[in-house]
Order: sequence, then structure tokens, then C-alpha cells
Amino acid sequence: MPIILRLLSRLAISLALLLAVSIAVFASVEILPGDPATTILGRNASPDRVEALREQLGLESSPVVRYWDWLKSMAQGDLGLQATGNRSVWSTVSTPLRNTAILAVVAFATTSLAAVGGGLIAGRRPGNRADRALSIGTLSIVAMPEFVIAGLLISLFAFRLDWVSSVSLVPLGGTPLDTPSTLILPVATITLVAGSYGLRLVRALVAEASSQPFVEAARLAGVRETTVLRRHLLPSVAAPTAQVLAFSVPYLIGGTVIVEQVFAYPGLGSLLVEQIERRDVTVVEAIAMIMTTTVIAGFLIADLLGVLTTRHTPRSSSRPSAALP
Amino acid sequence: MTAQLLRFDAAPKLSVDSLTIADPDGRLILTDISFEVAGGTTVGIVGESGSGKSTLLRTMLGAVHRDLRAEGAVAVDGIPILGAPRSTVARLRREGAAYLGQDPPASLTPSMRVEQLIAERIVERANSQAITEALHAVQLPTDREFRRRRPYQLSGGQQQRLALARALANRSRLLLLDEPTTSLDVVTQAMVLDEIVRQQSGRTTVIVSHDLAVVAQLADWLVVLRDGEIIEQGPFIDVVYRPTSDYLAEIIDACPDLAKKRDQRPPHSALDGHHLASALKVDGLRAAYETRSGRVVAAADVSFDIHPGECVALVGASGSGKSTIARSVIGVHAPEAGTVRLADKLVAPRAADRTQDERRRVQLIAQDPWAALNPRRRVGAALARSVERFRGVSRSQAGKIGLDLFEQVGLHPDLFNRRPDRLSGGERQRVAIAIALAAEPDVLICDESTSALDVSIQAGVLDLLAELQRDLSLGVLFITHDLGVVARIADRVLVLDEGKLCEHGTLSEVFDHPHHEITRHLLASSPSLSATIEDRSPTHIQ
Amino acid sequence: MTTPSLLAPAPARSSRRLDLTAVVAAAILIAVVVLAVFGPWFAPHPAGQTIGRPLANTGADGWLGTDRLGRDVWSQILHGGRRTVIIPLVATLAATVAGDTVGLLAGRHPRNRTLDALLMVIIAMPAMLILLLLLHRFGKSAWVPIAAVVVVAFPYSVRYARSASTKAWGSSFVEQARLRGESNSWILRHEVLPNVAGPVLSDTGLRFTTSVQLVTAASFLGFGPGAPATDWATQISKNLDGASLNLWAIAAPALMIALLTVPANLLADRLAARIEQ
Repeated sequence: MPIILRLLSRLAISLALLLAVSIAVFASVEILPGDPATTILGRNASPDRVEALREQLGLESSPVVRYWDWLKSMAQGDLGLQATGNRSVWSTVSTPLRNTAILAVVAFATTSLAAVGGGLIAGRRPGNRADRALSIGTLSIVAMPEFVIAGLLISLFAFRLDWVSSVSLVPLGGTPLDTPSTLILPVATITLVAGSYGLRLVRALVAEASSQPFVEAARLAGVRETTVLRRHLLPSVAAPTAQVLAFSVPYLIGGTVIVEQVFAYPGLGSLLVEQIERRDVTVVEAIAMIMTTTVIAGFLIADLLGVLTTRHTPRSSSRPSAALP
Repeated sequence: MTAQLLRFDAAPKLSVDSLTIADPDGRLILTDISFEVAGGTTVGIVGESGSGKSTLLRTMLGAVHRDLRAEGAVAVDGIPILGAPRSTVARLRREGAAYLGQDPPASLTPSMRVEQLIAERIVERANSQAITEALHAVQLPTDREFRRRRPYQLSGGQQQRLALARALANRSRLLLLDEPTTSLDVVTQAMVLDEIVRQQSGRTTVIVSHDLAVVAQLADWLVVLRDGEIIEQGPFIDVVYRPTSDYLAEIIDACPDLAKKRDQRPPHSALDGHHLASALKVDGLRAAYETRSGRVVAAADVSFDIHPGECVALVGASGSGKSTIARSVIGVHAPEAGTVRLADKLVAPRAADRTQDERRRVQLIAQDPWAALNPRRRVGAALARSVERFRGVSRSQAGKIGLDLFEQVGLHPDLFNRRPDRLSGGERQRVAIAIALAAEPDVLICDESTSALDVSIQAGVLDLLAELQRDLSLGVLFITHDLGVVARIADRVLVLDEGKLCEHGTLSEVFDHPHHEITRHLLASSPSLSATIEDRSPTHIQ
Repeated sequence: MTTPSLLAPAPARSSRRLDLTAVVAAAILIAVVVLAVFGPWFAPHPAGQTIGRPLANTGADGWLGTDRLGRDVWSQILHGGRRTVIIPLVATLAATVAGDTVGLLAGRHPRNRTLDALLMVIIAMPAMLILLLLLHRFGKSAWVPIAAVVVVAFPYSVRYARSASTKAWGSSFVEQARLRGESNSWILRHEVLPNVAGPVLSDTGLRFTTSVQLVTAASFLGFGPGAPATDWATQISKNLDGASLNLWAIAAPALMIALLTVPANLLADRLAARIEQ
């Protein structure tokens, strides 16, 4: 198949996936048993108020019509009005979205660094001391919930050593970048978790490449170790490593929800938790779609990288898959 | 400490002195190994799997696994390698030695171009001239277009040559070879061996192999290794002519050799006057299988028959689809056309559509007994189940018959309740044979059933098959790429080329008077220990 | 070649040798589970009882001090274990049964596109989002995190069980069983299941970790049990503000959760590695 067709087919698959996910989100928020209006207002609300809200939310029309309207406005970038109150969803979401984006981008950079660096160190000579230590270390970190790691980090660095603040206060109207120190603990937490997860996957790739006969042959041919890594080993792990990093995106996004909550970081995750407590349907839907779209975009990039990098080589590269939820 | 110069102008002397290597549990992998290789000569180290031969070769490159403990001395031209500083070992590998391991094309990094692969190994300035010389030395093209290629853009033969060129590009005078031709088909193997022979002159060579016939073509001195100990060593011809150890004598005898044909038996039509029913008859078989790179036609109009008590060998290059023919016969691969008759009775193409009795009549023994045996079941239970299903006896009776079969294939009853992972390769293959015999088949199809085994084990299994064939009047279809094995076991030979039977006749007809060029080529490429020895030692023949 | 190579991984330790890490991990895991299940019987104070001033330091009131409401941290730990351990256990069991059953059945028809598409939809949604959407829809209840675990773990269990069972169904020993005329159910019971059991068990161990993470996350976000009922995650989230005064109020429950999940994960990993060999 020509390369352009393969790329287009990946794109089509991603769009279909996005559509399917949007149905799942819409269904879980609005269609599942129970009445959204009652959900929002609580069971003790007066029937008049419930009726008024039902009208406002357009609940009288069929779910399919509602979904279609919702999808159309989403596709046009119109997130609609809040279900509780009359602000536009976008004005509520935009600042937290920016804050989370800053956190996620910084964390993605550090996570990638940790995953690739650590993966190379551990996988270069499988079974050596560094490998075993990193294996147990990452296995332990991956096992712990994010807030436990955050809690331990706070205990140590904020309270015991008093190096950084335990709360990420962002000045009103400013951005987290104005006070970069607020980012340290949140980024560290995400890096530990997502980085450990990524490190394990990269390590497996490097270890496999390291046992390839041509890497072994290069070592037995007296090629310098740095050259072995750079010239013989890295080219064969570069593409799958990029894919692994893309697959760590859902991990990262899931991580931000908890981490923002722990450090009171004013991001999308905190907003989601807050709006769920306030039971605002439209804001929840909007945030859910922003998150899943990011994840699917990550998957798409992984896929495209896979297609682009395997076109020259005859052997099909084994595609890594997200091994852990 | 400054690193010693490890470039040799003349072929270096290599010495191994009282080398002992043990694993962390204290188990000895090599015990008190001593031998010397004079400059410019070739030593062949022969041993079966687990003999420690690869460990020994790697020690000569200073490569001992970090978990192993090594004592003794290994020296190249008097420079100690074992326990030498890192810089010395690195220099030895970079400048002093050329190493080629199993499956040479796999040593070529796929992302690198031909010229990069060569240049990396050149010690002085890696200019165009030096690359040209290195490629030229192994008869590869030297043009610009070729040098820009990557390994996957080369033919299989070119990859073999390139791997050798890369190893030798440092102009080393010490060549270390670890089973360089194992897993190659005989034709490519012959080509690679020719090339190695050309490169031998002016070099000190060490070759490690399980195959005495391969070593015979190269070695001046032979070291026989078993369980980490030297069983015997000496000048090659002397040692193989008059082996002092039973072990070597046994290996020489077991070594498949196309010059040692089995006694010819009269063809079956002549056994008795009237027509004898064939046990298996295949007519006009057409079958293909899919691979990633496309469709491979395994059989294009293949017809043959097998009589009771007769062994027919089906010979062809690996990957030519011999297994697909076997799988079509037992009904697990759907052929495109053709018929299968068992005991002169037409049977359905699919095994599911055959009766239990029809399925019973033909049994397959695959190359890999690992895959054929359920790792979670005791082999005795698997065997008894087969008896129960095919012979329709009670479970307790099936157990007893199973034990009898166990003994019949030469297995100790103690192994009956073991899981497959606690059996050796040869034992597993015998279990597979016993399971096949449980069905009381007319025909046994052996698909490369012995090619994964060491020669001494292989000889035992081949003897067992010959015995069963005789005693039970079994028809055997023996699928193999090894003509030495064919010579040992077959009555008749079929040669398969691109899905067609290009040659068909009795063993001596095919081996002595081959008609087809493919057959001649295969015969000429197959190494024969006895023929090589005769070639090399005119003085010994009186 | 069976000879150990310079560059190959370290030779596998013989199976007879005791794996020290595994033994220690198992001992810790058993101790934590026992403490969690029987803890309430040994707690010095009833659940939720105030024993002194808030956030008192270690030693003064109880050996781990008190929490934000002046409750004994150690007693709270002992009272909070049951929920923290048992809810994820139930969730794991439910998720494994659901996922593995589908996976085992799907193993015979590995190329089922519909199933793959369904699994992909779930995989594309971050676990935390699924949890929050369900919490949003169904409100506070111990069943919501359990349902979330089942949904989140489903694709991974299905894929894992399916690949194990596909491998077994496609094996040549199953082909042989067919050739001797065995029924599908006989093959399933005698040839396939014994080969799938090990991988599925090790997968269950990994699922348990995920399950603890999600269930505790729900509590941490404030969707946990109402007082006086408690669990370790709730204790961390409620005491986060006062941790500067008595560190143990968050460090102790955090350590307990770590001592539960880390050994479980290590054991599952060891088991998986052993099966791989």
C-alpha cells in the first residue's frame, strides 16, 4: 500500500475512534439510567426547577438528536454553556486547560528524558546491577498510586526538608511559569510514575535490541561502547521508543488529575473533580472530550511514526502496545 | 599500563593453558583445557551442545560472562588475554582478531550501509581504497552503488560474504569462527566454506562446530570437547583415522555421510510376484502457503506413493514447502488440488472429514518436539490418551500399553510421569514417536524430525526409526534437507524443487546417477566426512 | 546454544534456589493483609474516636500521634485497612472473571475486529476519567470504584487471556488432539486451560495493583466512605493540610498502601518472568 494511503487510513481509524469515544462519553454522562437534571439538582429539588433545567438542557428531545447537536457544536469548537450557571464552558475551561497544558508539556519532557535515559542504562546490559536496581525501583513506583508518591514526596521535601512548597499556588491572572517552583513537586510526581512506566517499556526494547546478534557482533568486534549504542543499537529502538512515549500520554493525563488535586494546582483535573461534585454535565463532557482527544492524538502520532519509520526496512518492527493501564 | 600492540604482521600463535571456567553454582563449564595453535594453522574444536565450545572460543576474545569464574591462561603470541585490562581486550577485538559467529548475516546492523560496516572495522584510515580492498577480498562488487546499499538490499550469499569481509577488514591474522555455517542450506554452506578456505592462508584459524564434516574441510588439528573436557586432540587426520576415545569413534560413526549408503534392499515390486497395496498414495497434489513476503508454492502437481515397510525420503531446500506437503497429507493444510489415498482408499482432504480410522493410519512427527508436547501434561498421560483414543481400550489398559510403547522406543519407564521440560531433546523426540505409534499407523511422516538433535542422538533416533519400519512394516516418509541422513535411512528418494518432484528413484539410482542438475548440485555441496578424509590423506590409503 | 554468552542476560537462577525478594515480598503482603482484615479487633481506640488534641506529635497520644481531628493515627490505620484491601480484591476478582472469560472465548477467534474496536475505545479513555465519569453518574458508593476497575481492567485482561489462549489453541499439541478426535470441551479442559492458568494468575496480580490504585484514588478525591468509616486513602487526603504538624498522619497510610501494592506487583512480576522462561 502506498505510504500516503497508509497514513490516511491511520487518520481515518483515529477519527472513528474519536467518534466512538464521544458516544461513550455522551452515553455515560447523559443517557445511562437516571435523569441528568435530577442528577444535577439533587433528589430533593423541586419539580419546577427540574423541569426548567430539562428544558434548558434540551432533554425533551431524543438522545440521538441531542448527541448529534452536541457533536456538531463540539466539532465546531463550541463547547456550549455551563449547565449550572450561564457562563460559557470555554471561559471556565480555558485557564485550567492552559495550566494543565503547561504541567503536561513539562512533565512529558522530563518523563521522556527519564524513560529513555533510564531505559538505556537498564537495558544496555540486561541483568546487571543497574538493571536489577532500576527494575525493582520502577516496579515499586509503578505499583503505588500517584497520590501516595505525592504524599511521600511532600512529607520528605516540603515538610521534612522544607525545600519547596507543598501547595502550588498560582498567582491570580498569572501562569504557573511565573513561579516555576510551583511546578517542581507536581512534575516530579508525574515523572516518577509515568517515567517508571515508560522506562520499563524502553528498557524492554533496548534489552531486546541489545541481544540482537549485530549488537553482540559489534561488541565482539571491539567497537567502542558509545559507538555501539549510537550506531548499532539506537537506530533500531528509536521508532518504537517514540511510540512508547506516545503511549504514555494517557498515563500522563490520568496522572495530572490526581496530582493537581494533591498540590491544589489549578488545572483541568482539579476543575473536573470540582465540576463532578457540582454535577455540571456540559463542563464534564467538555473536559472528558479534551482529555480523550489528546490521548487519541498521542496514539495517532505513535501510529504515524510507526508507519513512517518502517517503510524502508523489510522486517516488520514489533509494535509496542500500552502494556499497563 | 599502556595497551599492548595487538596487530600481528605474521599469523599469531594461540595458546590455551589449563583453562577452567565455572558458573556461579560451581558447576564446571570448561575443565582444564590446554592446547596450542601454531601460527598459520587451523584448529577445529568439535563438540555437541553443552560441551562448552562456544564459551571456549569467546574466552579467546576475552569475553567471559560476568557471572562466570575463569582460571588458567589464554594468550595470543604470548600476550595474556584472560584477565587482561579492558584496553588490551578492546584492542584484540578491534585490531587483532576477526570473529564470525553463527548466522553471519545477522551480525550486520540493518541500518548501516555496506561501506559503513566495512569502514568501522578498518584500523588505519578508512579511505575508499581500503574499503575496495576489503570487499574485493571476498569477491563482492566494489562499485559506489553497492557500497551505498544496506544489508537487506543484498542477496543471501552477498550477506554471508559481507559479514566475512567486515570481520576481516581489520586485516587480522587471527580468524575465530563459531559455527559459521550452522543453519545454512548445504549449497550456501559450501560457498561459505570455500570462501573461508581461501581466507585461511596466512592466518591462524580456530573453528568451533558440532559438525565434524565441516571441520574436516578446514582443520589441521582437532580438539574433541565433551561436557567441558577435552576427550582427545591431535593432528586431524591421525585422530579421525585412529580415534583413541570411544566417544570420537561413536561421533564419526554417527555423522551423517552421503558416502555411507545403507544396504540396498530389493525394490518392493520385486518382493513378491503380485502387486502390493501402497500404504499412502498422493496424486497431483497442489498446495501453497502464505508468508509475509508472498505466496510460496510448496507443491505443484506432486505424486508419490509409499509401500509398507519402505522408507521414502523427500529432499529439498529449507523453506521449499516440504512441511506443507506433510501437513496436506495428514489433512491439516488445505491443498488446492490432488488426492490422498490411504491403503488404496480415497480419503477426504480435511482431517476433520476423515474417520478416526483414516486419521489413525498416518501420523506426523514434527521437527520440534517442544511444540508437539503440551508443556503442562505429563508425557505418559499424553501417550496413554493417544492409545485410548486410537485403540479404543480402557484407560488403565491404555496406561499399560503406553508403558510398553515407552520401552519400545527406548525410554526408561522412570520418565513416564515427567513433564516435557524435564526431558532432553532426544527423549522428547522418542516420546513423539511413541505417541505416533500409539495409533498403530500404516505410515509415519517424519518432518525434519532429527535435524535439531546432536549427531550421536540423531543416529540413535534414526536407528530406532529403521527398526520400527522393519519390525512393524511401517511406511515412512522422511522429510529432510540432509543427504547424509537420507543415505542412512532411505530406500527411495524424491527430490523437490520449486514444488515439483525433479528426481525420483532408489537411493543408489539417485545418489550414483543423478539426472537433474539440482540433485547433482545438492550432492556436490553436501559435506562428506569420509570423502574429505580420503581427499586429504593420500598417504594413509594403502 | 546453551553456553552462557558474554552479552546474554544472566543465566536464570535455578528454580530450586529460593528467591529472596519474592519471599520477603510475600511475607510483607501477607502481614499487611492480615493487619488490614483483623486490625479493627486490635485497635486501641474505636473508629473515629477523638483521643486528644489534633495533630499531636508522635508519642504524646498514640505512637503515631493524632490526626486533624485528634484521632489516634494508629487506630485509624487499623480501622481503615479492611476497605482498602477488600474492595480492590473484590474488584480484581470481578474484573478478572469478566476479562478472562471473554479473553478465553475470544482466543479461538483472534481476529475479531469488533472486540478490538470496543477495547480500543476503553483504552483511549484515561482510567481516571472513566472513574470520574462513573462517579459523576452514579454518585458515592463502594460499587462505583469496583465498576470502574472492571471497565478499566477489562481490555487488558481480555488481551492477555486472549493471547495466552490463542497461543494454546493454535499449538501443535491441540492440533494433535483434534487429529485423535478429541472434542472441543476436552481440549479446552485438558490442553488449553492448564497452559492459560499460569499467565492468567500472574495477570491477576498486576490487576490487583491497578485496582488498588483506582479504588484508593476515588477515596482520595473525596468519594470515599463517610466518617466514622475510613480507609487509608481518605486518611491521606483529609490530613494533607496538617501534615507539617504530624507527618505520620499522611506518611503512615501512604506507607501502608505502598506495602500493599509494591509486594503484590513484585510477586506478579516474578511469576510472569517464571512463566516466560
